[in-house]
Amino acid sequence: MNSLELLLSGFQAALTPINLFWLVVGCLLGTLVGILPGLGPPATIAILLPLATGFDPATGLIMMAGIYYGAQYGGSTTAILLNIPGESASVVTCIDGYEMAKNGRAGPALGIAAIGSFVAGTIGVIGLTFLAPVVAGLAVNFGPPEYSALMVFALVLVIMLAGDSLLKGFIAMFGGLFLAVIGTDLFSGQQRFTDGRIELAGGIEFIALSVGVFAVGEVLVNIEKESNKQVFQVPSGIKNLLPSWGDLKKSRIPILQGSVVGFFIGILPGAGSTVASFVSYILAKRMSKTPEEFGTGSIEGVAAPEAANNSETGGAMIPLLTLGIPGSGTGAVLLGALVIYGLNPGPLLFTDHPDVVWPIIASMYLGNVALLVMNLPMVPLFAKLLKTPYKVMYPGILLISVVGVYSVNFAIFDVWLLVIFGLLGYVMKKLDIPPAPLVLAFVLEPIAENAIRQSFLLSNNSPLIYLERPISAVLVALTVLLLVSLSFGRSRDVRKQVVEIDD
Amino acid sequence: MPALTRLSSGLAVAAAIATLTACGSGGGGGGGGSADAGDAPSRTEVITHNDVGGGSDVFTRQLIEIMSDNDIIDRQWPVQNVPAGDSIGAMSYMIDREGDPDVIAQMTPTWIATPMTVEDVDVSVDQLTPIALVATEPQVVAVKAGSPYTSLSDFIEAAEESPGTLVQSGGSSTANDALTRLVLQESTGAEWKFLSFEDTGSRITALLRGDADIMMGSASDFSELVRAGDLEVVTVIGSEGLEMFPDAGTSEEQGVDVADAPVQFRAIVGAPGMSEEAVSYYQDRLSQLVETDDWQTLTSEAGLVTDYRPGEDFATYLEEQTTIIGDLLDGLGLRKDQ
Repeated sequence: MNSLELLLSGFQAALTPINLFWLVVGCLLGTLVGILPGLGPPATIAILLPLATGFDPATGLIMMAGIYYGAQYGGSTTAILLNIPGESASVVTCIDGYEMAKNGRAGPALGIAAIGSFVAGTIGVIGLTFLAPVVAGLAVNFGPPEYSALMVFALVLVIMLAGDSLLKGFIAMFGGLFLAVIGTDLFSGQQRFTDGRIELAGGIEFIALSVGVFAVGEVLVNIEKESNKQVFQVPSGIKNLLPSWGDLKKSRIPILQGSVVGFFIGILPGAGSTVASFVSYILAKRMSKTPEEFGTGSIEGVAAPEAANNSETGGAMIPLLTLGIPGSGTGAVLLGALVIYGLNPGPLLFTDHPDVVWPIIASMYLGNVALLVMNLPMVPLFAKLLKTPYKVMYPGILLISVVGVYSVNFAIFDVWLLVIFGLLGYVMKKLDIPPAPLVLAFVLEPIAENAIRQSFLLSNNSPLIYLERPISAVLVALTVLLLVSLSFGRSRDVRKQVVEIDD
Repeated sequence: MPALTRLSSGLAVAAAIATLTACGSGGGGGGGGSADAGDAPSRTEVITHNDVGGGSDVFTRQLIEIMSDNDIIDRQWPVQNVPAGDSIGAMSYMIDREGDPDVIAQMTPTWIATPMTVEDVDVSVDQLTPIALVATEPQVVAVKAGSPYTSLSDFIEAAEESPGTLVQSGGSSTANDALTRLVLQESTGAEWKFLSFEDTGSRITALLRGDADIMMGSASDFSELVRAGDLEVVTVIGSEGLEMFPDAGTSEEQGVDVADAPVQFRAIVGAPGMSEEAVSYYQDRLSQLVETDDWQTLTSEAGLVTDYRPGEDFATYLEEQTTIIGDLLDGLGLRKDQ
């Protein structure tokens, strides 16, 4: 049987009332945990695992997968409305999404996120259906030199997120790199900058950092302004609460481009949706007719990363289902669930258990439709939330932030970190240093550092290993091109900024 | 000075969050240890130091499911994941619940090694109440299919001929596979590189890609890839083979001495000062567990060896393993607890 026939048999199996019911439950739960920062999909699936192990494996896994991609849909909501990036994949969405909300365009931003997520999620599953065996090799062929090169390339792109000031981008990036170094060194087992604190042995909690510098920092800046001035403009009329035809037309290419980028980066274990989201953001900016709008509330700047982090799910399922290798925290939980069901995830899963794998894949098509139907009508309601006076809203934002951060490890220490990073976010905002490069560099540093050290161990400290392997050689070439275009293309601007700061 | 007032209003919000935090911690603490010390267990929770989906987490859930399916326990015990500090957080959690008959944990040798490598840590396994060892998990040695090394001794010989060129992929420097490498290098004089990866998947792809020549891990890490013909398991560390890998000899048969290597084991421990009543309650259930057919299936599929040792026997075993691991870490200069 070919993929299409197997998929159709999967649809037959997935389209039972009981499977559909748990699919909708999974998507709904996923949306909810995606909206609230903190309790992420892995923890949610964990709570439901005892319940789900009582189900038929296909039913249980359909629900769990629904939580996984449902959370990717929901993640954009708090990012756009409240500047709270609940997970690393939403950091980039905050940049233009929150600006749009401030400009009174929260509805179109949320709407395009839902539509983009639907299109991209579906494209990702199509890729999973027809390309899985072909592209699985990519997950294996990406070794330490390839990851090092990809991460260095990504870090250069991160600086470009800074907008106009490369210098400030550099400062933010190095801040993020430093914060990521705190913790236990994988290679030597030594503690780095932990000051003997056990809470820091595992490193700084991501949510405390991202929610601190984005959401808490933003609140601190807003409440010192004149309290009567509205932070958000909210237009009346349902027409302004959804994307217009013009918005959709403008977002078409970023969504398609983001879907493809997200799918392929999603296949690489570890790199995942974060890298996918900002690579596609920068690509969209480069391809846009109006790149100057990026950073000030561009709808393309929301469409591209949201598409990328949703098609990533389809890509990330490939190494999980074809090799038994999870690409992310959620992937690891799904792998655990497969083991608990006695399904032995590995290269033979597709041949041994087509009756489980294909219904899951088929359910992902259905789940994407369900999520669109669930999310789109909510958009005007969410957008209207911003009519709430800020005096009432900011305690709510702080509460969501504190509860969210606390719920990750149930550690008060993390909440103190949130306070510290909130103040950092405030100071950065005052100095006009962008927070996105800091948070993204923080996510990339461990992958980059480990991969670089692994590469040098393999090559006996010869950097030639980066040129000897074809994939990494291509990535190194791209990075060099990017650096050249950055230094010569904008050299005058950069010099001007440096002079200004010297004054 | 408007700037100063602004800053102070910012600080006021920060202080408000801090107050919220303090309230939270007060409330949380109250909810924890409500059971009276000395009571029989009534609402057991099982701690694991893994995130959901990790090896220990999955094993803990399987163990509970078997006990529940076989009516050894009347409801599924909830699993509590406390991944902070790679076992240190889990131990602190238990030490905070001293005397609580409802708090048990599934421990592994990480619980011995990790606190030894962190400065100023005041938690250790000997504060906890030993309940029983349930199984050991022999490490196996895997290579890519078609590799020139058909045994661990082959690999060691090759490493002796060209020191420092071959590569083993594995976990952190204090993990069991890394410590076993140290023991082998010490006893044979051979030298090879150790490539650390955080997750098992990356260790395996390094092998598949040819970046690494061997990998040590638990049988379940490799079983499916062996079945698919991508990997081969060439050696089982120790003196007894595994039925899962009938073609793999033991390290003893291959003349490789690993007596000083730490053993990967799975055991159950209780909160400090747990009553004897509670300890025997759990031992009773665990002794029934290891007799069930489902347990036999689980152990043979996961490559575990049942080694049930309750109470004192387990305490002695823990002491032995603590000495082995402590000496190895000392030799590495990683010991920080002394």
